[in-house]
Amino acid sequence: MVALFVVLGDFGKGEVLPKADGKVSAVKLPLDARLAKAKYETATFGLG
Amino acid sequence: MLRTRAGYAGGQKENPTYYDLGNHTEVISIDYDPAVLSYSDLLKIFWEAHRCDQLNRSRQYMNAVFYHNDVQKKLAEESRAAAAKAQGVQAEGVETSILPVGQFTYAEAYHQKYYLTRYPGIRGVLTRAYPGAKALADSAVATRLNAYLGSGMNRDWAHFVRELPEYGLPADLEKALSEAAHDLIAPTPRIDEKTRD
Repeated sequence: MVALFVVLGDFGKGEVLPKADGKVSAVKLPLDARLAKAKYETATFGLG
Repeated sequence: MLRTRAGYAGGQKENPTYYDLGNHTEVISIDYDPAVLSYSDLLKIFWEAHRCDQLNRSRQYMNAVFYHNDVQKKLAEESRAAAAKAQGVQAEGVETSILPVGQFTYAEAYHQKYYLTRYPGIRGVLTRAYPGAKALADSAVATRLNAYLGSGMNRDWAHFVRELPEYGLPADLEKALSEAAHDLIAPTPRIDEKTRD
């Protein structure tokens, strides 16, 4: 039982999530392919 | 706006996750066309969405501008001063931070395009096209569908119908969405018109 809780507690930890790299990775769908070529800027906000 | 994504930024932890954020903040990252929308336009929306003297509960949930360059920093600082004045807040009472974005980490897939969780058929089509948190988050199609199908926003349904063929959805799904949108575009008949016959 203790081992089960230890496993559950560790669920999700250790995952390495992707980082922003300036590249748009979604290009399969037509609109995505078109907009991936557009010049863009990025804004980031924390919304509380 | 082109694309939006949820993630973590502003902190030092190398590989944050939702359950292990370190000192990162939960953020939204917006790609926009500067020929159509300016950074100042986005700042205006940001400042109007909250009071700049609102206390932040934690670093995780914080009102903040995370700037990507010196131009954004300057515009953010100027707009914060203007917002404080407009809201009647003294400088020492301002709580909203302006910080460098640092490394942005994409939030987990279940955090991306949240409103689409109510439409598993549509979300299933998109996740088959774009498996993984980054690809789905980077999809303008997913961003638009999430916005149109979400709540509390003005929607240009006529624009949606015009653009829908470019989403690349299965024919039956595109037809269903188009018909639903047309129902929203068409004016509702008045009561006296309905009973006339």
